[in-house]
Amino acid sequence: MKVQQATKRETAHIAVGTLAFSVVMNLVFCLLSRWDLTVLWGTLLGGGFAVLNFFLLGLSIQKLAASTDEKRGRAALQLSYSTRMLATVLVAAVAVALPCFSWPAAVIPLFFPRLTIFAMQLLGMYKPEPAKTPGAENPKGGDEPV
Amino acid sequence: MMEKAIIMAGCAIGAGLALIAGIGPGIGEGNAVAKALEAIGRQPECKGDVTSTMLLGCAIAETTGIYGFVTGLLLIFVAPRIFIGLL
Repeated sequence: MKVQQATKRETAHIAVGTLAFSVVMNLVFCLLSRWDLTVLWGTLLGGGFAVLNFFLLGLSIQKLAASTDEKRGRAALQLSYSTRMLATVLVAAVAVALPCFSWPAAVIPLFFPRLTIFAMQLLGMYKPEPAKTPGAENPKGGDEPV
Repeated sequence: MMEKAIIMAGCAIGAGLALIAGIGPGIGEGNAVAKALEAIGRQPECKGDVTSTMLLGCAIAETTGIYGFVTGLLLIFVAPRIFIGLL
């Protein structure tokens, strides 16, 4: 399956944002004198999974966008959501069970995609387009431009 | 001993309740996708914009489920230790 430009672009944005927030999180761990290698491995596990999760979401959405069957689309995305949530539970279980990962450092990056989107909105990189209404190009409402 | 059991049971019940939050995003995302597909069907030229917006919207919606999940994790692994320490 060919990955669409929109999916690539948004995943790249999320990856960069997750990386930046991960660096900040590691700095905070350093400041709290809690940093060790387990924090780094946990960050890599959680951050990597967060980006992968977003990419998989993008793949499912672009696959669904190719069809126009609403009921099937709804069911397929719910299935995709359940699968990805199970994978999240698995990653968290691995992070908790294995001593080489710090579990808070693995779980916190799962929120970084949302923080990245929030930051993108603050920076003006992503703004929902205003709804186009008839006559918006000619606000005075005349048929012919004067 | 009894107090510890009550704390553990309370935390486990709380974690179970917190995980109910995982149901909502699945339903919401499904509805969002259904409407987006309807929009693409009506205006196929907007497919790229709609896909991009839907992707970010679904990512935001999904975080709600992760909130519940993390709350459940905290209730299972962190809260019992804190509450038992308070006894």
